[in-house]
Amino acid sequence: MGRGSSGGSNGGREAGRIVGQYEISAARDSRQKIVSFYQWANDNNGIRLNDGRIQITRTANERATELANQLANRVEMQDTDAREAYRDIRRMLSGRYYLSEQDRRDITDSGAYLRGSLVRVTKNRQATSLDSAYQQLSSRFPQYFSRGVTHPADQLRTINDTMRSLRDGTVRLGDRERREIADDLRREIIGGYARSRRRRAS
Amino acid sequence: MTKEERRQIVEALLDMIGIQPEKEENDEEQIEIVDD
Repeated sequence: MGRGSSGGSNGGREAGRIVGQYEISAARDSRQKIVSFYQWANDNNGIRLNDGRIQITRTANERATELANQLANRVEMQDTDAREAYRDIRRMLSGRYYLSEQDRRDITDSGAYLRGSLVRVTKNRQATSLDSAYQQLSSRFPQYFSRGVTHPADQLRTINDTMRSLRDGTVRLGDRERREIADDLRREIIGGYARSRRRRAS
Repeated sequence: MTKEERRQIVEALLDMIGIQPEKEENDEEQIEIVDD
C-alpha cells in the first residue's frame, strides 16, 4: 500500500495491540526464520564481536535487513482514529473525479476494479481530476497519502486501499514508519545475536 | 509516530519472535558493516 511519511504523532494508534493482528502462524514462521538466520550467522561468522563492538558482514546485514522488513511489513495496528478519518475522507470524496483513458489502462482489470472502487471516477474532463483530490487528501492526511504517489492509477489504488483499511479500523504502517521500525528491528536482531555471544563468552 | 510508540511496536514484535530487546540505555550500540 502506498502510504507516505508520517505527519506527526498518530495519537489514536494503540501500538500495544498489534500483537493481536499478527497471526500465530506468522509469528512462529518468523521465529523459525530468526533461528535459521542465527544458525547461518554462526556457521558463516556473519556477526562478530571485535573488542566488544559488533561487526556484521554485508551478506549477513542484507539477510537481517530482509528479515526485519518482512516483520515490519506485516504490522497492522488498531487505530481508534481510523473510523473518523474514514468518514472525513468519504466526505472529501463525495464527487466524481476525472480519470483518463490512458490512466484506466494502467489498472489491471480496470472495469471490475472501478466498479468496486470506493472513489467514483468519470471520463468527463470538466470534473475535478483525481490527482487534485489526491493532493487535497495528502495535505489533510499526510500519514496516509504520500506525496510520492503521483500516477493517478496508483493514487486511486492508494485511496481505495487506505479507505478499506480505515473502514476496518486497522492501519498499516506508513512508508517512513515501516522503514524506521524495520531498522530498529534489524539492529535488535543483530544485537540479540551479539548479546547471546557475549553471554556465552562470559 | 513518536519514538515511544515505535519502541512499543518493536518490543512487541521482538517478544513474538523470541528476542529480548536491548535495554534502552544501550540502544545506540554501533553496528559496523564489514566485507564478507
